Amino acid sequence: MLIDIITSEEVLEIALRSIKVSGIATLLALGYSIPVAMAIGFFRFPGRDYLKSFFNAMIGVPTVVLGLILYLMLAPNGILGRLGLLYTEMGISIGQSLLISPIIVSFVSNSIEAVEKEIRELALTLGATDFQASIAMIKEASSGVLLSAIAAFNRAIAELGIALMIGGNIFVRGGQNTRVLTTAMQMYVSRGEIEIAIALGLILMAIVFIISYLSNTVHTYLRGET
Amino acid sequence: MIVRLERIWKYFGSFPALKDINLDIREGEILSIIGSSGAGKTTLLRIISMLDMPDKGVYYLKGKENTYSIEQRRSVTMVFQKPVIFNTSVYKNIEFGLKVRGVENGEARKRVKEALSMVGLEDYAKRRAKTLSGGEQQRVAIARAVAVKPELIVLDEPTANLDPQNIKVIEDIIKKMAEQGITVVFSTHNMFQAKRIAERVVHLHEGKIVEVGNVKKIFENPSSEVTKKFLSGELFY
Amino acid sequence: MKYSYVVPVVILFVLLAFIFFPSQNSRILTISTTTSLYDTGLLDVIAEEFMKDSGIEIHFIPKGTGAAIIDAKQGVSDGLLVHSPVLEKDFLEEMGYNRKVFAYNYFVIVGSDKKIEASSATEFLMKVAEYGRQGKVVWVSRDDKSGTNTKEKELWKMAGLNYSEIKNEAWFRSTGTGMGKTLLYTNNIGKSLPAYTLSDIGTFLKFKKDGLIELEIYVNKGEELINIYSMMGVRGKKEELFMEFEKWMMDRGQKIIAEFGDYSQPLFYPISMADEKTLMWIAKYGFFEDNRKLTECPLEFRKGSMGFIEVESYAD
Ligand SMILES: Nc1ncnc2c1ncn2[C@@H]1O[C@H](COP(=O)(O)OP(=O)(O)O)[C@@H](O)[C@H]1O
Ligand SMILES: [Mg+2]
Repeated sequence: MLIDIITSEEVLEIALRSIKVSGIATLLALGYSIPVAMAIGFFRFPGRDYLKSFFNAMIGVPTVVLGLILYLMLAPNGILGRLGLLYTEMGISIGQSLLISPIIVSFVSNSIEAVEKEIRELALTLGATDFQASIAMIKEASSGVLLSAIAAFNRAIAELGIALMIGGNIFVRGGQNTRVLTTAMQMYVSRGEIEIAIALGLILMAIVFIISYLSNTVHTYLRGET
Repeated sequence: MIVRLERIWKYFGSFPALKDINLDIREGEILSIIGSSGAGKTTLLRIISMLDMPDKGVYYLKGKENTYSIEQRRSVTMVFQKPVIFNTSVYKNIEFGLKVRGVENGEARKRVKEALSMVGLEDYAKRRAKTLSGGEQQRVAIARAVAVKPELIVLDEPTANLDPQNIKVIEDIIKKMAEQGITVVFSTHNMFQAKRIAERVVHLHEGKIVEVGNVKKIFENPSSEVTKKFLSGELFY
Repeated sequence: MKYSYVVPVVILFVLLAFIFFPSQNSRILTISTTTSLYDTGLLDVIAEEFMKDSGIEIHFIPKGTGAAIIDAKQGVSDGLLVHSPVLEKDFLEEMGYNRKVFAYNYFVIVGSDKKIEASSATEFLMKVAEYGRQGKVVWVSRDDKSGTNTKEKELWKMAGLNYSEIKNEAWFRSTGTGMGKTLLYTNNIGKSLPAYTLSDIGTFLKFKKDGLIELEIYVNKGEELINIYSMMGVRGKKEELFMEFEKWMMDRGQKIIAEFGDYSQPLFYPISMADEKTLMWIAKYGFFEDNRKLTECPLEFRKGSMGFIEVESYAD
């Protein structure tokens, strides 16, 4: 019964979309958050402490607040309306990437700070250029990067506010849909179809666990323990 | 002359950690920098290793004024007092300096092997470096420095935290390095260690060089009062 | 050094991501709608069938009626499917066109106990207030400005009670949420004290069939409880596509609406099947005055070649 629901085409499509949308959100967020984290981790500049507290505080931003702000900006009459991102997958990805960026910035800048001076000087004395030394530091902080990516992905795939407000939970067979696991769950709960909602919840948990497990494996590999 | 320091000063805030240092390091020698704790040994070694720049004075490297170019930096490698280890395998730790120099894989493998056998850790390549003992980590750090074949290796109190057995192992490795033609500068607060392995000794006291000369002369006939006190054990660290 | 690949790889992924997402198809209609209508599942069928017939993809965005109207004002939606005539009038005047009633059904007053007997909704509500003040029954209200809630306010007014005053009385419970949760809440407190609420028929039948609630219908049908579903376009937004959808809804859509649902009674009645009497009720509660006539859409807001229903305003 439950298995029929889980393996149905519709549910599979929704689950894959969740992974795709939140996976891309995570990649996007990594793309612009790591440089910010590096700046915070490597350099001492005025306002750095405020920037750090800002990102720390933003970790807990309610998804509905961010969702609402983005909705108003991305709506056709909003300042970014021309991008046509409202009610699209890319819209959700961008929204979620903003949501999870603070997680990545905080995790990564903290782990860079933890290894900062020692590893940098070690790399330099072993003949690394400044760039190579920075890469070595990021690599040394890679457990932080990986952990942050997992935490960020898990937050993205499990959040509802942005997916609903920016995505709109659209589903037409064969159409340009935006329904993801969380929006589908809330819809089925509100429709009283609890069983499907439970199936979707199980899939969501499974994804989170599998991703965390895989990351552990990759982590071990990165450490050269194989 | 591989290194010549002229009238070097280094300040921390307004505190002068090094005062008017003039020092020559000769090619192929083992030079020891002795002095009690806080004398400025680490500060001086970091300047020699180009990790820090002096506030005043001139640094000549192989006869040319040091511009801290990547080539110049690559001719000197420092081993820190507390070993710093990349969180990965022993092999990858040692390989690092070769990778950044673009040494190709086959050659790199050969040199990592040589370095490991020099420090007596042939079978440790696949071990995770952070799980090794303090003495073993220090040997990995030394192998890592040797592998890049620098002209000068600088070691900051390489045996400070080790037991007598490990001290002997490290001292033997230092001698081997010199046999391979590498110039070695190491600091110590233990004058007997200097006596055992160094050819020349510099005595640093409160940021100043108070005595410099070959081992024999310094231990038998020191010229400064401070060095006499240091040798008689009146000065402790 | 091999780690220097990391940065270009990340950039490449980001670029791929942009390519990976399909570009905007212009044959898409975005239509804001109310949650209660959406949650019946009717719109899923409509979207699917309309796509087959026309190739136009409809994106229904379910929200509360108020939020759906904000959506339109933000330029998001090309049309609305709602059931709140009072709110629709303002919207039509401000930015709508071609309002068409496409279906109707009846709200129901449901409850946990046959404590109150009444022949009409207004009489029932008067008794709820009376018994409520004696501590014998409670009334559960969505109080969320939804279409259902708007209807409830009208009913209280007709029963001679002031909604904003009774709202503060002990027997009057506000949930501030959707129909489903409100039904579950009513069902729960109904176990200790007779509890009643106003519901749309669709949500009620569904929850009942799934065994989620034990509530019964106490007032059904009657002109006061009529629930009128209408659609209208947003001026200047994909008008051609929307009018195509409107025509389809009045044609093939009517049959789909009539056949939709798998319950003991129909969920929706298509407008094309309304008899004379029902049409008069619809006109009374869901039409607007225009030139001494009642019509679903005043002349000045009509576009295209669509036909609109008009009745003489003294018909009631
Ligand atoms: N980063 C620093 N900031 C301020 N003072 C320092 C710093 N590093 C060293 N010093 C001071 O400079 C002096 C020399 O230190 P150091 O070279 O570490 O001595 P040694 O290695 O001989 O024990 C000491 O008084 C120490 O407190
Ligand atoms: Mg020191």
